[in-house]
Amino acid sequence: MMEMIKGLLEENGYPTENLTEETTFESLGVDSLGLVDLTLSLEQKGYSIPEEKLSEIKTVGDLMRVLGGNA
Amino acid sequence: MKRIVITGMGVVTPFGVGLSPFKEGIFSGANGIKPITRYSELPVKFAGEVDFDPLQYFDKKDAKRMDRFTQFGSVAAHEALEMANLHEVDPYSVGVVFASGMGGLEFLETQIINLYTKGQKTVSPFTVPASIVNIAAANIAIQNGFHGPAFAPTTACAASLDAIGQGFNLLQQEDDLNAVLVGGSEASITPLGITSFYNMKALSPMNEPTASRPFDKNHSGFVMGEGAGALVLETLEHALSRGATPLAEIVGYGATCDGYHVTAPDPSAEPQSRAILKALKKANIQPEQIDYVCAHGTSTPLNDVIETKSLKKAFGEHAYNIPVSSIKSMIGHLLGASGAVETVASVLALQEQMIPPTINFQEPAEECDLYYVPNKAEKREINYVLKESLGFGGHNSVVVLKRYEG
Repeated sequence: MMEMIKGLLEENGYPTENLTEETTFESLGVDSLGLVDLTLSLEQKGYSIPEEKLSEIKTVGDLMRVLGGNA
Repeated sequence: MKRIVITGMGVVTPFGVGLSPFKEGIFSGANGIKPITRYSELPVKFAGEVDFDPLQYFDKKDAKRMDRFTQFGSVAAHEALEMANLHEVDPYSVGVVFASGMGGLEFLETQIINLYTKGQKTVSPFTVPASIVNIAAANIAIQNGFHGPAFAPTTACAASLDAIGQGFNLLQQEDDLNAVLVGGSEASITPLGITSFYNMKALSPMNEPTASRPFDKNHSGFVMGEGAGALVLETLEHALSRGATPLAEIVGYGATCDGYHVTAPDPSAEPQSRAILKALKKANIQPEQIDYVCAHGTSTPLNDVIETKSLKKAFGEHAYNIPVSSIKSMIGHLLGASGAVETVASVLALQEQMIPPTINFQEPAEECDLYYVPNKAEKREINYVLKESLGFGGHNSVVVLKRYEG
């Protein structure tokens, strides 16, 4: 899962050095539209991310948990 | 009245990125029209396409969020601001008036295709902020931290000359503004852009690199170009107080609307000539003082004939003494960016005392009987240049520039 998220971040031009579950998207330069963009890409890969969960995603770990719950 | 000078310039044109290839190109009479490489199966094969790698100027994340027109605009603005050396100023004292005709057409076009072929989930959340027409202006303000007024005039192919005129007016009117970054950008060499202009018979069907031939007997429509032009306008007082070098002075601006037709110019040429007279009046000079007209000169028969008529109406017999040229013959029609890029050419003409030519010129078209500086640049004494831009909707815009003499 971590590798998949790392790949997605790289694809979109975000830095991925020293990425951990605690890394915040804000620290990577992912703003609110950037996060929506990433989640739309994930939905195309078959994940479903309920809209109400979006505001809970602050860190890479948060995203992993949301994806893990419904992949 | 405050004196307004230009202290920096930058361009992205079919000759390449930056002022240097542009200057070399326009004064050597080079042809920047080449086969279109970014798309195939278009109704025309040639355009003034810019060889541009966004990743040379932006990181991948930012490049992905910007349409090509914003990328061009940002790069041109950066060059202009570097030349002006406009750093460490009160950010509220600097405005941005930066235009586009079509805005982020390519981004929008791509997302429309995504929507209808791949579904809603494939539409980028960046679609709106990448394609709205004001977004190049906004990005320039964001990138440089400017907090003065920022907006985009949307008067089609007159838009960036109106941006220059509006920047000039703002500096005259607002006491707390010292500088305004003005200009415009365009990137419409896309399947929809090309096809739309082609189907309305505005593009030349010649399909040759020499198809852009303003005022020539074989003019048959324009050739599309893309790029951006940016200029730093500044009050003379502010420029001198910080040791900046004025490149030229803006002394007049006049605009009118034909109020006649959505695309065809008013055949009387009266509103166009009135815009010229308004700009001359603002500049407080006589028509005889204009040494060069940097024309709109699109290479469409309607434009070339009516523009010629408007010059004769405004200048009378003196029209025959003024060299008139169109650099669209070399780089094509940059739509909303054309006025700014051609103003940069006008400033270069004042600096170099050299008039860029109208290339691909063999024989004058009927009713085009002025002197169009055919094929070769000419050395002349130039003190005042009149720059004219015209836009669909009947927008007529004129700026008068003066050689800076202190």
